[in-house]
Amino acid sequence: MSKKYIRELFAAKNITIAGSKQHLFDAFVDDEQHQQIARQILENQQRLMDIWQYKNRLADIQQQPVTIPNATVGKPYQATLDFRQLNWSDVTWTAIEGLEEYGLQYDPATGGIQGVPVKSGDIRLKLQFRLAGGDTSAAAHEKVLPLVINPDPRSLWKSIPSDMAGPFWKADDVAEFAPLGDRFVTVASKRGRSHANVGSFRDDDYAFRHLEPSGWSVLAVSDGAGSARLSREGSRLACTGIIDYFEQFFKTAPTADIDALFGEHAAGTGTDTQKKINRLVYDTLGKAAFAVHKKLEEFAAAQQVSIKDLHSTLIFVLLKKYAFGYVIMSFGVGDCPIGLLNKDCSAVTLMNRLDVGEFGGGTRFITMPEIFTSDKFPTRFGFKLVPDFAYLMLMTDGIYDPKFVVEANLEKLDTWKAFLADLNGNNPENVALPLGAHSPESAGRLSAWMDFWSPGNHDDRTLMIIS
Amino acid sequence: MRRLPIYFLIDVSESMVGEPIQQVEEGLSQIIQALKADPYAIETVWVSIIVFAGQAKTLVPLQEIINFYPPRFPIGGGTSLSKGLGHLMYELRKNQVKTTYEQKGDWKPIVFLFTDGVPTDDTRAAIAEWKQNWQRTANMVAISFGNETDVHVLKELTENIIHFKNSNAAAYKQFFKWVTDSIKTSSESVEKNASGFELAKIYGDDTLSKVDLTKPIPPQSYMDSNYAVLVGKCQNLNRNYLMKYRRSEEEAKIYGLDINRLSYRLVGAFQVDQTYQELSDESAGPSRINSDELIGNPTCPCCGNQVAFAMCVCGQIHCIGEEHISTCPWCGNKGTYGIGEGGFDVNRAQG
Repeated sequence: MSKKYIRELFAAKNITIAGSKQHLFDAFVDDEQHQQIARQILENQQRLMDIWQYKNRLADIQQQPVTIPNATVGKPYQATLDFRQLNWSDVTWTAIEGLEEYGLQYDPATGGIQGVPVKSGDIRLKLQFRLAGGDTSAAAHEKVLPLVINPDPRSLWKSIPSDMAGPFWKADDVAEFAPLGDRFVTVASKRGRSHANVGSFRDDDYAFRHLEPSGWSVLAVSDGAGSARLSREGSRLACTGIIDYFEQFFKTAPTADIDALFGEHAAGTGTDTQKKINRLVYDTLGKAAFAVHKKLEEFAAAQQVSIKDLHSTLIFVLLKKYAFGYVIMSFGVGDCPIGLLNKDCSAVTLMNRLDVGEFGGGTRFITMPEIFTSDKFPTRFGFKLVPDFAYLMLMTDGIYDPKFVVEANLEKLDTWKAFLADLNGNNPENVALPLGAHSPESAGRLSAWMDFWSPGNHDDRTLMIIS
Repeated sequence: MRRLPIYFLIDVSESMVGEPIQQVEEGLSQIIQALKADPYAIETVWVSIIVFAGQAKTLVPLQEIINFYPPRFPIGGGTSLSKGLGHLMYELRKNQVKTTYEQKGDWKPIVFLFTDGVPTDDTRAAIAEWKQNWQRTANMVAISFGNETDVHVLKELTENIIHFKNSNAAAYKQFFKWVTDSIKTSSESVEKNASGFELAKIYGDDTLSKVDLTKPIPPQSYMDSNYAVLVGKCQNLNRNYLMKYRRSEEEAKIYGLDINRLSYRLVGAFQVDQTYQELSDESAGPSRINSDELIGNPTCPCCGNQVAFAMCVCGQIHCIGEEHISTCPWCGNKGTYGIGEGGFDVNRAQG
């Protein structure tokens, strides 16, 4: 090898060996000392190339993008630096320092990073490593690996009590359980996290009353628009307005005639009873809705604010028990559903059509005069005569959005069954109402159930259950 | 829940090499970090990053911010805004979820377009498509980096044009905070069912300013670019690098004439990876610049060779070290180098 090198060296340098000196040159080449020099040159060349290769490889590793999945505070984390996949078979030793303070450990044997992160941050981990062929006494090489630890989204929400001295203050959380004729009402209304986070007010509201001697029950739920400045008062006025309206109405209304009409309809004796009932529902509930609209208009004028500042949705139900069953009449504007589950929960009736827009904000409010003149107005009413029922539920979109997601699901029995199971405790938090347990504790339990976590859904939540 | 998709359409042409792209890279990861501290944004905002130079590509597909991993930004040759827009519209179309009876749709997407230059291609078709299909279904904010951007093109796309004076690191910080605040206010207003698109207030200094479209925009007067960027290849590692020069005018002392002499001073040399080829428009011809106008010769950013600016007979640039015989990594030609006399024309990259 070294002999060959000497010959090639001379040839490359264009040193010609005269024929007479050939013998001398052979002896020169054979000289152990000269061969030793050549070997050293070759060794040094090899060494240079090795060093270069090492540096080149090191640069490649340091440049190589390595991604580790993001972690989240409080969630068990497991990631692996897969040496084979990274093509790091020549990496002989690794270590990562400083992981412990984030609640994580690194196992050099497996390349695994695991643990339950305790704090968030975008960390630049320093992976220390040694390469095969490197000087083991020198300091280890370093490569920066970005690791993202996300905060626990729940920890970001603050709960600031609303200002009790503020205008039109209302309680952040309310819940009630009460008899309602021969049934029971369980209702809770809770300020959403988006409001709690900034200490603003609950915009939802509800009201109910059983009226004697007419025997009618009135139920109302309203959701004040988040973008409207005084909608918390708008929703309250809408609900109490409906109760007050019907309290007055049934004092003077021809209740005997109304009862007779439903009786004939149930027995199938009268003529055109369906038509007459439609007329009755349209007139009675339509006038009530318009009266509430007027009341809000007057309130806005008196307060010298725009009626838009009071924007609120409204759903309400009139319910009465007869010998032949229950009469349920409803009206709705906005995106709050009214659902009726039959006795054995084998069928569901959605009592109202929802107003939903393509992008958010497409909903309608009781405060909008145009809803009364729209040709869609007649579609806002519902009527049902049933022998019995299991549950009648009124809710705001704070419940509907996370639990039903889209309108289509409100007509699917499976979604309702899942919803009932959820109320009975089939949920990650294992909080049960449960349904059908008629006790004063139901109010607090419903309120506790309402604390369920649902990403992106932090609106006020109101649910009224007649059972 | 509804998603609020945020798209970043980012110009990664050669003039962005070095500090600007590094700032954008860090800025975006800071934006995401700040958004994750906001309870609305962390659950609502989805992010996608699309880069464009001579070609366009999706650097980060639309994803929840909690899954976002800071990417490394590539650099390419050219500023093909039409390809960037085309790719953006492709992504918008692919990702959009419309509200129907059966599903909950997205909030109106917001697009942040960052560019620092003049498109090197014809943008008419892409702009027409944008106007027809997307101008109403997405909100766009165009941000011009520096003074060179073609505002005439941007105003066709959106009325929200922000001029950003990318002078120093503090300015970048302020700018990215503004972007973050704009996203935060938007994600909070969608929660309230409001319009869903509100740009944060621009505070009174000249780092950020809204371009007033009611006033006539002065005609383009920047035939000379603020930057000259040259492409080289490392002789040892066969990797591409860019040498960036910033324009500076100085008094010419020759002949006692009172004229300004245009020159370009070295900013630095930067290694680029394989994506440079991928993102460059190969069909575009290079413009030329005389080497006399360039001041400063960097070392090779790949291997450390002392001279990064050696030109082979093939017209391409590569680095040379102390080796006696150099081999051009572009054409394979072997040769020895001396110091050249007088200027020679070199190919200048487009972006």
